[in-house]
Amino acid sequence: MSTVRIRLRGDRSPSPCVAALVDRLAGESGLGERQAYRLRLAADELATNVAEHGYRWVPLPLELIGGVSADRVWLRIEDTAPPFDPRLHVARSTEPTDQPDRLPGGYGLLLALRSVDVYEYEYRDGRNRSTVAMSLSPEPAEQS
Amino acid sequence: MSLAITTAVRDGVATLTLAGEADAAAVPLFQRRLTELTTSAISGLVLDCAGLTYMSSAGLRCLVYAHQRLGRGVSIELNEVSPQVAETIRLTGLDRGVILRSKGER
Repeated sequence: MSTVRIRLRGDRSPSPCVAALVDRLAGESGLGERQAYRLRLAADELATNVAEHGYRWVPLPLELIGGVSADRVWLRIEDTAPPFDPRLHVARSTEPTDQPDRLPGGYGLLLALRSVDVYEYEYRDGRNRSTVAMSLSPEPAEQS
Repeated sequence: MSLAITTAVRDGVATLTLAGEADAAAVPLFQRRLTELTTSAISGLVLDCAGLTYMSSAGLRCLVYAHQRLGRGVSIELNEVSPQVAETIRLTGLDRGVILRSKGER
């Protein structure tokens, strides 16, 4: 199964590259429209968070690595910002807000973590590594 | 794909027609259009989302910004919202503060 690696700079929005990569992986794997949208949303939120808060739009390296395995489509974001585990920084309340004039910080991360089937984080070799993945459901059996 | 916005005000109701993607790159334009519309007194804000294909938390923050500008007495209505965008809005609970109509819903 293939793996794709895209090197970006933290002073530019990663959103277009995330979208293109998810499109490619979805096409390759047959991932459904709803799942592909959610994978893109999660990766976009995490990568944008790195550029905006981790790097403050400084041109440091930001990498997107994506692939398709037998049972899932995955995308990993790697950066060299200080260690940051998104799971510890999601919106304090995990309940949806009923006060629309306030959307506390961390809701982008909440969206990211809620949108995917799998989220994994590790800090290794001076890099934050966030992996998001969607499970590939087996094709429905053909009806006779 | 970037976000294109057309605006109109009729009988005190402002309508923004959105086409494209409301991600972080779209925020400056989205906020500018909202600011222009909300400098005058309006009784309601309608977002026509038939052409809106994507919305991240950056786009959601623009809805929050609109609420802050308009105050609680002014309704915000999103029409023709795609299932994916509607799901994103519901995940944050913002659907409780706006009128959300999915595609095909009257």
